[in-house]
Amino acid sequence: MATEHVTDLIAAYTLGALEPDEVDLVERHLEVCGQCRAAARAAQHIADELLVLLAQPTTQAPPSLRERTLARVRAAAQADALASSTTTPHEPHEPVGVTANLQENAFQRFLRNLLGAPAPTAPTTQQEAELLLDLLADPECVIWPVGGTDDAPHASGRLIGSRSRRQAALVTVGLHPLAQNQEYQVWFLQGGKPQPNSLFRVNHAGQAVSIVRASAPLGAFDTVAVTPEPAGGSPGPTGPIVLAGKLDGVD
Amino acid sequence: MARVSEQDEAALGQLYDRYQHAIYSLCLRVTHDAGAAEEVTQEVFVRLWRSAASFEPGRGRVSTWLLRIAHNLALNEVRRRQSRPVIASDADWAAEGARLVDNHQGDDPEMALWLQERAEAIRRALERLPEPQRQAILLAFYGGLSQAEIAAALGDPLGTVKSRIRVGMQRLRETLIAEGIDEVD
Repeated sequence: MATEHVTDLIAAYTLGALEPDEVDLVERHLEVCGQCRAAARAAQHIADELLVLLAQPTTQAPPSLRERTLARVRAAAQADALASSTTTPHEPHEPVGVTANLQENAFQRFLRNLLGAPAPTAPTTQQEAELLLDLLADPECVIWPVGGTDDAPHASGRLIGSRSRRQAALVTVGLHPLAQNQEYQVWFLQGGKPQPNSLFRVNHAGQAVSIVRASAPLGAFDTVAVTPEPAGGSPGPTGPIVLAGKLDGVD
Repeated sequence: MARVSEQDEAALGQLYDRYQHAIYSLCLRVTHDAGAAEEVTQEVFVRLWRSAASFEPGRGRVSTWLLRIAHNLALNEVRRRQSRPVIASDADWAAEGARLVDNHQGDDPEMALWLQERAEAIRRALERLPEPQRQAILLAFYGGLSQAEIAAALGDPLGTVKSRIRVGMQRLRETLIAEGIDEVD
């Protein structure tokens, strides 16, 4: 049975001006209503024309963006190939470390070489693997070493990113698995002031790949640090720093 | 596109060369952040690489398809950062519109022509709208605000904003059909 017509929402839908629940409502209705689909097509033509003004090339894309874009596409293609070789069609989101636990794959070999640690089997998902490859393919990629403190002398890691990007991957080994009511939290320090970032847990071997997204390009920060915190994270660090690394002076 | 769908990187490079400035300019205009515009531009071509096989030539131009992807990704980036760059006033829009029309040359002549012949008509059509309708449409499409956010930003009732967007889009369509830019279904 067709739901009530969504005529009043269609213009805003094509402009991207609806709230998520309204988008769901419209899209469900469009599946069953030819009349509203026709109205949506007509409105979409207008929205497409508005795109033309936005796309007037008043600003030249930086010349270096071409190679970076193609490198990112290559990395994505590599990640796709890797994922298809390490996951089954029935388990598309299965962690690489689980599905490929009998045979070390190329990605895990890379992590092992990067970290200098034995046989990493961190719970790396397809998304994490893809981002890592993408970051590594960036010509401006920087790999910052992160060292264990006196509170975690056997821990170490690498932060993989670039000074101009906000997103990065923190690969760690040698951290103690925490109790259920605790998680590791990443902090970026700017002028000594810590900004809370992502939370992660380590596997039984103390390894993790954590995606971080800073509030500014990484070049704006001077230090990355990790502390154990109550599950869900803290607005400011409450536990001891177990991993830390300087984000400047490394090329 | 057919070659891209067969994972031909040289073909992807050609599409990049053709559309890079349009896509980058769109991303920059929406995000107001060069770093974010570069990231979104890269992501557009990753999406293109992965989805080229699903592109149906009969349903529209490659350029429109790419610009839609770029617009969606750029708006997502703006919303993710929860900062809302907007074209705040009619004066801002007039200045931006003049700049857009004065600087339409890209690397690809066909693309530049396609953009140029429409841009002026679209700008004229927007200028003919009553200011409240134009403002609501621009805040939504170029600023990434939802109807509820526009209502809050302007201090207008939500129902009024909804009506302005709906009527404004209908008037735009009528004007563009009259100009021969859009077609009657």
